[in-house]
Amino acid sequence: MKVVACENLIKTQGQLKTLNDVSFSIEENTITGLIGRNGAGKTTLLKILAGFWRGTSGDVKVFAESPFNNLLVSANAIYIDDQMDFSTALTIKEILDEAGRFYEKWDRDLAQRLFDYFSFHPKQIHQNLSKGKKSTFNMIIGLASRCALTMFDEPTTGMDTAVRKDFYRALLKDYIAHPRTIIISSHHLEEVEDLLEDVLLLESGKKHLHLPMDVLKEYAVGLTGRTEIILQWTYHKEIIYQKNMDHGTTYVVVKNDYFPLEQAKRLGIKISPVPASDLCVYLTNKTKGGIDDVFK
Amino acid sequence: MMGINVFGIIIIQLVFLLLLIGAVVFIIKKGIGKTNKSKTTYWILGGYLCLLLLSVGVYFVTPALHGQVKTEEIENTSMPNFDRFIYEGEPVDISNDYKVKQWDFDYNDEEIYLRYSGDDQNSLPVRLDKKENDSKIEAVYYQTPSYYNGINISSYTDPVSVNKNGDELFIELPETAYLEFTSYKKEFPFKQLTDERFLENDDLLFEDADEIFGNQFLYLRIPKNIKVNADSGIDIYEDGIIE
Amino acid sequence: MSLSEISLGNLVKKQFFYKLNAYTGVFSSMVLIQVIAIFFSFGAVSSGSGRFGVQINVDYHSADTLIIFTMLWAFINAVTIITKKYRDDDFAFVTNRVSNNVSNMLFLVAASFIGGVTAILSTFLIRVISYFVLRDHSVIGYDVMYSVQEIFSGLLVVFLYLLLFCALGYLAGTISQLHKSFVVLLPVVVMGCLIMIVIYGSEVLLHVIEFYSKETNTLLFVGKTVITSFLLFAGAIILSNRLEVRK
Repeated sequence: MKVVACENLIKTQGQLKTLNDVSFSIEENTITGLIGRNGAGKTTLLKILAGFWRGTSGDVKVFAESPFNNLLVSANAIYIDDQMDFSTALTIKEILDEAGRFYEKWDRDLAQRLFDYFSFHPKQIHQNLSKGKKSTFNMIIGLASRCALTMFDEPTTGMDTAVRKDFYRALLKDYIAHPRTIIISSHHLEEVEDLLEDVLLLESGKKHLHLPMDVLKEYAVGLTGRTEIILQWTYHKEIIYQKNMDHGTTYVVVKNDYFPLEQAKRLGIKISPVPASDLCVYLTNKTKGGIDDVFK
Repeated sequence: MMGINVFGIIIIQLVFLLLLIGAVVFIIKKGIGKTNKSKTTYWILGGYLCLLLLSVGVYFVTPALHGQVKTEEIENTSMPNFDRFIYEGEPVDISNDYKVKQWDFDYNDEEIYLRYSGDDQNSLPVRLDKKENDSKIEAVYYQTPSYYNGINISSYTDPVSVNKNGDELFIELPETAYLEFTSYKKEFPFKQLTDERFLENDDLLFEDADEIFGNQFLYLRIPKNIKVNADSGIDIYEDGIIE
Repeated sequence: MSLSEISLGNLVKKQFFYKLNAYTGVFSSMVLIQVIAIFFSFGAVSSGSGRFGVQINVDYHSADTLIIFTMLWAFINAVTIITKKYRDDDFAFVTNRVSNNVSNMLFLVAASFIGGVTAILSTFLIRVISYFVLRDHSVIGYDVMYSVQEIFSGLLVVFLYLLLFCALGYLAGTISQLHKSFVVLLPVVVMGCLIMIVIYGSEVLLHVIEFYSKETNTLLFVGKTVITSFLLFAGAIILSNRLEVRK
């Protein structure tokens, strides 16, 4: 069953199209990484899925219902980001208790154990927590609510490395124990790479690709060799990334479709896999050469 | 003149209202801005409610507070108006209830001077009747009582006194008594649905005090053969005719 | 995949109790405002008059000021709970706009009731303080025999006025959330109305006020205030049903 289905979704904010004709769907019980650079439209997409914002046009379905102002969606989808705000009248312990009353599948025990593990003090006020602590606390709510659709928007903002690792580990363990549909948005793919099953890459409000992680890893290959040979070889190919190296050699990334790799090897071209995180950066670069082009 | 005055008052009211709104906004913003834990707030609210309930208890066990002190319901019309005796020369025939004081003086001179003494903020009308020559001057001070919110305040004021000194008759006016009181009135929500007189009052908040001020005059009877001279400030009405 | 089903009624109930906990700032500011108003009530209104031989000055101690303060509180408090900060807090948990509005409405009803009870009870506190603490001059002319009927009628009247002010504030707050320009426009309109009444003595606006303030029939008064409040709340719900949150 499709948990999320978007059809030609457009969101206009002022003059700007923050989402431009996005169509995709997400299956039940998967972890999808929503990857894109700053301003690619990740947050906009997630807020529409959570029912906070309305799409300008196109069709959005979450649990086969339109999410805006929808009780079923609100009860079964949670959106966690670092902007989350809770009443200043409540202590963080009281916020957890309140959350427990709202979410039917809330795991009180898990929330308490995470709360203790990350050494929160029950009497603290959410507003007074540090950025990292806030993110950690929000993450506890996201995990313990066990919502059928759980969305984390840049969940690790401000967390230190140890807490980040703990978070991803906790997420994975809880996901295995209680499968559900999770969307994590991030601009660090390498951080979440091992976690993800699918990747949805957004670029300037457009869907760039939506692929399973293992397909994405094979999506492109890197070729290193003498510049003229490389240029000749890739003449009709779509070059994703190109970088001139020393001694007349060039590194290019091309799409991996029926590429005669054996032949290339014989011509002295070095073939290397392209890490998914690098690929995403290359794919979303405005120019083929990245920042280097600016300084040409 | 009047217009400017009213306008000024309106401006003051408006400024006051603005300040009030500003203060309330400020307090509410403050209340939200600072981190107040819900438990603390409910303790505060609970404490405040207890204080209020305590005050209700104190109110009901203190007779002086909830007792209706307002004892005399006075009909303004039941009290005599002295105007007709002062100005219209009707024969003075007033119940002794309103006779506060009487003075009799023996007098044999041919002339007498009437003078005021005491607080010149006050003035007292004098009704003057001529009578048979019996060498006696008679002065009677009549006054109806004053009530404020149903309380007789006549006892707080000094009475008039009349003294003779040689050929002068001094009408000694009382020193003005400055009285400070605290009073209570029912708040408008209590009255809106229960008080039949609610609509009579134009102003929602400021209701006119229930005040009745008495009237008073000095009744002088002087033998016909005595010539009466008086200070210019004294209101003398001789048989109803201004002298 | 099993989805949690939640009924609107059940959710409204949960949100209402959540708000009683989360919006307590509303009540602490109420206590503060009423305490300040109690002090105000011992100074302002005095009336003087005098005649022959006597000059009387009477200080009236009453809770009228406090009740008006509480009405202002109700209005501003309703504007406040619809501001972005509060709305975003509400959307941290399960909600939709209707349930959020209905629970806000119930919260305002509860707040009006608490405000009404404290305002009515404070009249006794003012009497007690005036009598025992400020005994600087003698007391004249009590008009303070409150019958049980009067107390309950007073509570009803204050409660309904507060509700009316809450509803008015809630609608005003909702309108000001629709577009940024309303934030500026709204106070201008309110001040304009006040100036119209106070300086020009606008008949129309006075009639609007007197429609409520001069109604002495209990049933009609309840009808007028409850129906007006309901219409104002309904307007707010309709307007905010398309409002985006957590911007």
